[in-house]
Amino acid sequence: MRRGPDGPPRPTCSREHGPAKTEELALSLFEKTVEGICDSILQSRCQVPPEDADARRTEVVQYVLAQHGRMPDYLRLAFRLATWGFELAGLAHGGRVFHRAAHPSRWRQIESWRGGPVPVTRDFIRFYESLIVQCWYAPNGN
Amino acid sequence: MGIEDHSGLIDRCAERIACEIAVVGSGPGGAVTADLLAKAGRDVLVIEEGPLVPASACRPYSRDEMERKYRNGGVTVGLGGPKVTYAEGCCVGGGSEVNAGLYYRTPGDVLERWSREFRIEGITFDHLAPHFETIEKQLGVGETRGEISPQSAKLREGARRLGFSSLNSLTSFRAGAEMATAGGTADGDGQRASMSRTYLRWALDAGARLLADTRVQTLRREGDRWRLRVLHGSRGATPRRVEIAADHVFVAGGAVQTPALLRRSGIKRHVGNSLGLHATLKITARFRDEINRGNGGVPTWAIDEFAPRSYFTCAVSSREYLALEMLQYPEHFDEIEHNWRRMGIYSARVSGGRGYVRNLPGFRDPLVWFRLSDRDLAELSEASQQLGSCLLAAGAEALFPSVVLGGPIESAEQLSRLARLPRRATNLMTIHLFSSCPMGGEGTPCPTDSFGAVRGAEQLHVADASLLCTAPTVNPQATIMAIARRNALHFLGAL
Repeated sequence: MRRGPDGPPRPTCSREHGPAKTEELALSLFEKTVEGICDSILQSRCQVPPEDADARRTEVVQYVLAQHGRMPDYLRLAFRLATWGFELAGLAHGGRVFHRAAHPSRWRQIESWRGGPVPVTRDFIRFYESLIVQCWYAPNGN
Repeated sequence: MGIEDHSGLIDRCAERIACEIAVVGSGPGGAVTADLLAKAGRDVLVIEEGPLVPASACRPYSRDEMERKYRNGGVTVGLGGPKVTYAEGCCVGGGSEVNAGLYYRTPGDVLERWSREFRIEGITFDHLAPHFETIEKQLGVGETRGEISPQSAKLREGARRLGFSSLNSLTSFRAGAEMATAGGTADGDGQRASMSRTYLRWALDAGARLLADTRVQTLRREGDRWRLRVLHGSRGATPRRVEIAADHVFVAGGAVQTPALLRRSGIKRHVGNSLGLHATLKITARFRDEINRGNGGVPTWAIDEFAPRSYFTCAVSSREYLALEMLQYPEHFDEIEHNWRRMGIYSARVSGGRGYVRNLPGFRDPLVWFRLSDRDLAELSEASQQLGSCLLAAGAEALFPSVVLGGPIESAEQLSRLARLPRRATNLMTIHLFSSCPMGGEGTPCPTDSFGAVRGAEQLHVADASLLCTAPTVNPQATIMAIARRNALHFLGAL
């Protein structure tokens, strides 16, 4: 077992630390889904100038992840679960998890959740759209 | 003017701190209380959960301000029906550091009701008048100078054409050269007279101490003192446990955090059961001519024709706020690119509904639940139609209310689409929350007495918006400050 900088044992990828590895993977999956949502909404809603597309995209993704981290903790958990659900729902929509799907398929999934009969799916999309456009239209990055 | 370098700030705190009076929260209620008590020679420690952010550190109403000065980065929502998003300040100075500084005395009929229905002693308009006068003098409250903004002018024009009563709100913005560094946010030039620039600074000058980045977990009575278990540490750092001992505690964390702290501390009777708010529905209007200067300010014109049932005001209308509103209208979203200078956001506000604040086991943040009755929703519907008619009378080409309607409103006839607001498809917001620990005289089901002392708990007081018995119907900051002043003077035996 490796030791962290302050001494206590740090989880590693070994078999005996399966839960830590699972948590890491789940977190990474969450971030990939958020990135996918940001990409699709930016592409469809905002006019992204090609010259600084990467920098602005990164800024938006970081802002959305940071705001997710600041949410009231019970809502944060609910949104994380819903985001995983959204990722898996891609399998039903286009045969691939959301972040691996092509943009047209992703956008169809976003539109179907936005217009869905269940309020929670509409709120889910609205939450992400709000953060993305808020970040995008804030002048000079703030 | 700021307090960043004041010697009263505690940089490094010991594991144990003792004081005579702990004031938990540094917003308008806590700051006024701390100022009066410190000037009376009492040993005061102000404890603030949020950071100290210098007033000029971020642009008003910017994303940066939201991240640094608001609780949860501004991402908070009251569950219930309809959903209400709300914002709370969480920094030294509380909500006064982020709001528009609008100033309204509590209407006399509201105070009359508090006196009659809640049996509160000494709270008529005449009783509070000296407190308002003092605060107005100290903050330099007055009308904004110079021309009103084009966005305000449209509201005034609509009101004039329909014969509605309207007014330019008073503000606590200070005119002057300091404006250049702070950025103007009201219609006229001025600088926000926030708590960190006024009452908190004066409290520190009088000997109070201020401990920022410190969250009070619980209050516990031990012998004749209160023990406060707190976590101290800036955001992102590992917090450290500190214990604070105080003879008296004034809780001023705001209408959500105050009941949450009391309930975490086992004080639950009637606490957090009667949360009120001003439910606000926004309407974005597009005009033929340019009205938006893009300076991110809050235009100060308001329509009070239907007060106290409803008020119509202007709202911050910078591009990012317009974009948020236009998300309801995907087919028109690209208007943000081309027409934003012709667009402004206005709001219709009603009082009503009731909610509660509860702590959830295993979670840090309290749950806020709120519900508007059918009658409240009908009132909001009527108010939004009246505001819509006013904006159309002022020359608006299209209205985009924050309700899922299927398309914009382009004529007076189409306003009837607002006649029934769908509960699930209406998006409300508020920045005014109150009444979660209301004051009340003997025999009333209120957790605090006529002067804000918590019933059943010795030497424990509330000093914020939680105390308001019902909706003040106007911007609540002046009411909170006047009541905090009245109650602090009563505590000192000087009322």
